[in-house]
Amino acid sequence: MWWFIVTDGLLFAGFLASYGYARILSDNWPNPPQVFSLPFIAAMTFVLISSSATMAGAVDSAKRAEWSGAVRFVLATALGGLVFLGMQAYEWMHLIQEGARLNGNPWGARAFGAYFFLMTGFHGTHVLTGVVVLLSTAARAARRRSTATGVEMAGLYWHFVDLVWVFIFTLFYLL
Amino acid sequence: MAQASHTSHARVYWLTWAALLAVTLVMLLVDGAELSRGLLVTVLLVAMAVKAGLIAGNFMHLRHERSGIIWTVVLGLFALGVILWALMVPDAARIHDMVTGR
Repeated sequence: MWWFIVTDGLLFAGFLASYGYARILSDNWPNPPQVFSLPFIAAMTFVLISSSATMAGAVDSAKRAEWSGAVRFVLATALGGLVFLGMQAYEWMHLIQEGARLNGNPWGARAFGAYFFLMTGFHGTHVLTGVVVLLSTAARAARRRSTATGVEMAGLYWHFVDLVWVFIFTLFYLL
Repeated sequence: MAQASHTSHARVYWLTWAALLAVTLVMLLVDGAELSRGLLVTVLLVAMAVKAGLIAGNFMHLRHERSGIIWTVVLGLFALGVILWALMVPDAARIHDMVTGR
């Protein structure tokens, strides 16, 4: 699983590196606080971090063979993922209404929109994949057909998605 | 109750969760404060590394993995970051100066 995570991490490392390149050479990169609502992004971050904590709880329960607790924790994690996706969809719609496009935006450097939609889009796709993995893990665990290792692998992937968000949150929204 | 062979790590997880939220809050406060750009970037990057370490180390149990995996992940990604930084940042800065005529 770690090998998958490292290679998937390389995908985001590539995105972040090219984003850094585009941002440094640009002299009119939009100022993030003027484009984004930081309290809203902070709330999204809170949801995702909390879902990582419930996933850790699920792995903990599964290792102790407390399957009903594990199922509840996994479902709570999936719910967190869905809330995060809903908030991201709202954020996208809001920015698109304000004129953000892949090839331009009202705030500055044209590349901003492309980097924003591609990076948050790829991350959001990972979240969506994670929710599907979590729901199938919950279904298997509810019928006692999952193993502690199975839950742990789903957990590793979910924490990785949270980890990527730490980087996007800092480098794209705060800097 | 926890069985003797698999003690619960719930305490570690909730502490990690609280620490992650605390660091995130600090980052938001720092972002709103009137700091110089260099200091702000430094503080935020350090805070980002702390959060990444907390997630990978505690949630993903990287701390309890075989040392070979730990070193591969940590050193590999660190080396990648340094290489990308060293190759791309000076070039981007050069183009920036060229375009803006500085």
